[in-house]
Amino acid sequence: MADAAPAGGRGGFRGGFGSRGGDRGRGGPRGRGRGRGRGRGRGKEDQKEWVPVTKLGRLVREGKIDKLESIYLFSLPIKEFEIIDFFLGASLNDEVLKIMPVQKQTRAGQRTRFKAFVAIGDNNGHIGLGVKCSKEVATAIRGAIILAKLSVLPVRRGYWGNKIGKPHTVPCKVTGKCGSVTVRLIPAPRGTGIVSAPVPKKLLQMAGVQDCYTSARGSTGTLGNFAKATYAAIAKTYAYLTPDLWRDIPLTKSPYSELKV
Amino acid sequence: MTENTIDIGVLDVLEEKPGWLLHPRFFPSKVGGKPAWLDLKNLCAPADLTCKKCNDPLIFLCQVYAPYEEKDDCFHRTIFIFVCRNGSCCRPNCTDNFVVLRCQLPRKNDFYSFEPYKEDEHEIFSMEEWPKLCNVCGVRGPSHCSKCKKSYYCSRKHQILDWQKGHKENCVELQTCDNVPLPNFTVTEAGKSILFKEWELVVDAEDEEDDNVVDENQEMEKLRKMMNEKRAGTLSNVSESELEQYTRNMPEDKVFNKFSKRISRHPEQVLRYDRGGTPLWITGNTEGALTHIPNCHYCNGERQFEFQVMPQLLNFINVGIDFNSIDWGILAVYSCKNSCNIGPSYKEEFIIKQDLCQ
Repeated sequence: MADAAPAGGRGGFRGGFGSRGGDRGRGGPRGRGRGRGRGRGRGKEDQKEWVPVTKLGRLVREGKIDKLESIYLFSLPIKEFEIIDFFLGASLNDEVLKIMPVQKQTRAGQRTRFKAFVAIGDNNGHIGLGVKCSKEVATAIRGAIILAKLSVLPVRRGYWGNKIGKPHTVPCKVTGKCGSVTVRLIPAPRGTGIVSAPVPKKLLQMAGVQDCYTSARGSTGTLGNFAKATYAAIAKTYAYLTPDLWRDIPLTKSPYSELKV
Repeated sequence: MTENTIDIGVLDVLEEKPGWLLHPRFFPSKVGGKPAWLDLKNLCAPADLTCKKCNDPLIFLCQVYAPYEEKDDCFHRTIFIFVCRNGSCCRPNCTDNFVVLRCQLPRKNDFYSFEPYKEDEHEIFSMEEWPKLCNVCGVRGPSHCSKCKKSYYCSRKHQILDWQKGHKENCVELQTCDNVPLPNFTVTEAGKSILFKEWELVVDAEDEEDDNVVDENQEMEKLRKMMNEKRAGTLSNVSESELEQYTRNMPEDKVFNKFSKRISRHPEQVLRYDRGGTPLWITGNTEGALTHIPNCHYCNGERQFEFQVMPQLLNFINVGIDFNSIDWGILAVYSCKNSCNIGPSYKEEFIIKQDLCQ
């Protein structure tokens, strides 16, 4: 029944796409050493070059966007983590915050997966946090790092008093609210350190804020809202209009409309 | 989960393929340049290949050689995709600026020999009996330059373009010269400015999923070891719910995540061929509702998914990076299930464009 000849009645013509098991045209002598077969190992994943899928990715790879800040300025959605890598790659430090096993009850017993929390930051104004759950510990950590990169936010820092040296604290009092919990970040003098609960402390440290007072109100027992509120407060640092921003800045064009080829 | 083996199309970026290998007699699958037509006589009129939005002539994007092995009259079968070069005609989730054509021939036909051609550059393949093609874009060229009568064009726009890009100088010479070979499938100077960069599409098989069975106990052991070495997280004492709430409320696009994971097996793929399967959608946010797929115009039979063009292709053809440049998430092509032979030689097929909404 099955034809023995591989060309299967095509008499030497190439198979093209969709040919089942036949001669696939010039696929053979290409010889880029790919090789097929299962379980080839994951070694070659690291050498794969990034081929962007989104328009923003293409612009970034060609170097047409100079700073990550231009992307933030226009709130363009970032879907590829390689974009963040391109701008901040070398200076990003990731830190695993927690790995915990979570279990789900199935008919055949319990199914355990691992949930990894990873925070990523460059200690200089950018912070991101990612969570990933997976069957393996290593996959969960890797996935969480990618998600953390996708959620990187800019953090604005300012001074408490004299404008000497580098900015070290939040620029002004900002509050974030979630549910009934309000978290307030207050500028602090140099050397105070970060006075807050462990999670926001870690996030603020990785963002590069050196000193800060925090104050929380509401039922912080609902720990869920507590953390969301802190994140909202950090996000607001760039949304606050301080006196030094009162002067009009001319509107800049979006990266897309700026680059007319 | 058993998967159907899907054919992946990859651009051969390493080796420079000589242009003559992409001649129609070798039945290539290619991207950019001029279309390598299959049926050389019954070409469609230039009026069929104009953009519905701006009425400019459409430019060849890619062609896929995909014969049906079960049917005799589909021994040679190619699908062509044309697109408007004007970026502003490109609207999210709208395909007015695309046209897809399907053409098929039996093994015994008027144009090509029964046996495959040898890959020889100098073998002569005469195009004398067949209609003339436009110098610039390669579609049928009914009009010609009134001075030299030796350059053919599909439309006034292309005639003007060719005049500016070099025909002005050559026209006089061409009037006197006699046996000038027409640039039927090779790209001319004028063509370079408007056509996409030419590549050959090579077929590859998709790698299978690395399905390694994970041993839960082993993983728990690994975790315990990490905890002992104090590597399992610096905030291990903090409760899960507290940490959980820090993760930003970004609406997660699960379809895009699946898409990314699947293409990571072959990041450089530009085409996925899976006749009868379902397309690999790129986003779950389908604002433009996915339209109902109409039946074949000619035989009224059902249409099925055949292949999809991936966004990675945009990196290789020079599309330009305007705000309004040609852009797509995926282009899914649906063709007649029976690959009917009714109607004109180049039959229109259906295409869906899915965009990543900004």
